[in-house]
Amino acid sequence: MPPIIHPSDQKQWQNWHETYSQKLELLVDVWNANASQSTTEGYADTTRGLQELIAKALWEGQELRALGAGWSFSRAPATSGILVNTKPLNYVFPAPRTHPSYAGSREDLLFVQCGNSVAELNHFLKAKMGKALPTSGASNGQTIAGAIATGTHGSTLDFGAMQDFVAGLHLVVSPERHIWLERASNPTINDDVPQKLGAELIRDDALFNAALVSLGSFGIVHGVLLVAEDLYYLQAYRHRMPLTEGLWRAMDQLDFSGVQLPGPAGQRPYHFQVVINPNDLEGGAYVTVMYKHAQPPPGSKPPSPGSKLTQGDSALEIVGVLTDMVSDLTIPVMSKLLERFYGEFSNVAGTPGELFTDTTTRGKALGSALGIPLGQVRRAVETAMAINREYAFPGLLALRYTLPSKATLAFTHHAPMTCVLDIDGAGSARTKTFCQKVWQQLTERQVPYTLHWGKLNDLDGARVRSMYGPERVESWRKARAALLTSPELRAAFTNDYLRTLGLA
Amino acid sequence: MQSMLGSWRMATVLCLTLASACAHYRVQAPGHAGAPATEPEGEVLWSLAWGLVQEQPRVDNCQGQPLAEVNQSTNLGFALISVVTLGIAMPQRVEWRCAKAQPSPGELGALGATPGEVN
Repeated sequence: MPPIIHPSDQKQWQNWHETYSQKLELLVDVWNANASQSTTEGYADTTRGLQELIAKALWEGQELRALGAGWSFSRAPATSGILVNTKPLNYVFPAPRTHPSYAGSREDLLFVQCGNSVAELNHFLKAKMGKALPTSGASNGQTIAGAIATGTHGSTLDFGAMQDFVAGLHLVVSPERHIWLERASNPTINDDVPQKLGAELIRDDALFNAALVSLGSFGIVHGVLLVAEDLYYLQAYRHRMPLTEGLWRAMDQLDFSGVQLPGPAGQRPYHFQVVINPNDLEGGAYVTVMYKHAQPPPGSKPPSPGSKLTQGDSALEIVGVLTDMVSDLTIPVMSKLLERFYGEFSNVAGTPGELFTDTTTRGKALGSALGIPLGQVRRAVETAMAINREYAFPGLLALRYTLPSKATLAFTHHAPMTCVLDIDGAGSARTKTFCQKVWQQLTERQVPYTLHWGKLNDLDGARVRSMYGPERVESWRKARAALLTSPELRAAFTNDYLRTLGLA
Repeated sequence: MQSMLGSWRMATVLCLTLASACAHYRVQAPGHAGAPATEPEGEVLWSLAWGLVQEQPRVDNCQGQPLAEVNQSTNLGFALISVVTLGIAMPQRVEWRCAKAQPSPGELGALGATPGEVN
């Protein structure tokens, strides 16, 4: 049965964090015909429905964009043409048949439809498979396709970004063609599966690495093959610590020798995060560390289900809650409320899905995230703090760390580790100006950095090329042209954001 | 200087007045069930004659799924209408997002699998 394609009356769309509105021609919701049972037949029918929408866009000369949770601050998901809401598409297929040469465990694999949110995946993996995602962003409201398309970073020292646990993509690229794409160097799916879905099987490392962080412009990502791992628990601590030389060294180079981290002595943390309120340095920085265990350690406490904020929330999360409470956020009020809601805790243990909790962030929050190589982190943070002394903004600086991603345009590609410096504040012109000042100063001081595609940035073609190098950019564009084979298709999957970035 | 100070006070009072007249209430399903499937749809609903007559929203976009979230909001204009009409007419804006289905898992390629081929 064909999917249900429900057109909305809305001619305007706003992103989740309310940073912009976009006029559009058509917003449609796409539902599987039988939403209550995941079937390959139903999945294939929905593929055909998505192809019909592409045909409609081509026929009408419209641009088309698949919409996830709309979590991005940037205009990555926006279009003036046809916006296809894929959130209702949440079929799940655990343990698909694998390629004979696949070295991993079939039981770790999960093929999911694009609209599954990270929260849904956390729940399903734990409840039905006894598994967990290797990493996630600090929030979990994003859809899986949206999160990987913008290169959402992880937050563990032992893994990369979210797209790095993806082993296969099912892309709908034209009214006549849809593709199962995976790496030639790591064939994962049994050839029968794409065949059963009617998809063309392509194994190509360059194409796959480019299509991971696609900015929604490689066609519609209909399905994603994930590699999960056995369910694990994170033992979490958050203490406020003075900004000593030892802590700076930990932040700058992940050298923990000069600092006594909270928690069990001598263990390397799985997750290390520092949140700095640049308007209140006297009390020190908020240092969160998490240690990975197969079971909750004896004596640990479960996360408090009743609190509005729980461990693992990002700085943006806090600002969002505060913005909901006081619309005219002021710097001193912000500091007081941060103390109230972002408290210290010790020995709390939960699964990643319990710690990086369901997100209800609202309010006009705004944020930028910079990918910075180790060794440059202190310079970047001190630059931001110096700017704040001259031009204070009601927000926070947060640092998390991840291994470099294999995706061609991952902003977390810096080796050997990327520090992600989040600048999160209330949605205001001041926050935006503050971010711009930081970017400008870092450029002038020749501190290398990249910018999160889904957060606030002022990138254009020249800056994208200078950040990633012309070879990476051309490789990405070449891959896109290989999958979207006609100028009309490439035009259909283009938007203003892509044109601004010089990637169309 | 005096007039500038007066303008700031006026602006502050105006901002506080406008802000105080805006209120939002949200009911959201807890956990992953609160992950919405749709963008917000909404309409202005009227309660008339102190509740003798009330409008109901037309929820026609959820495809048989429940609601994930309902928001109710009011603003200065709505508050004025309510006060001026002594509560005879009370408008409110209501928005909702539909919940996702919770499909049972499917099998992908499991049928007809040859034992030797499967990892």
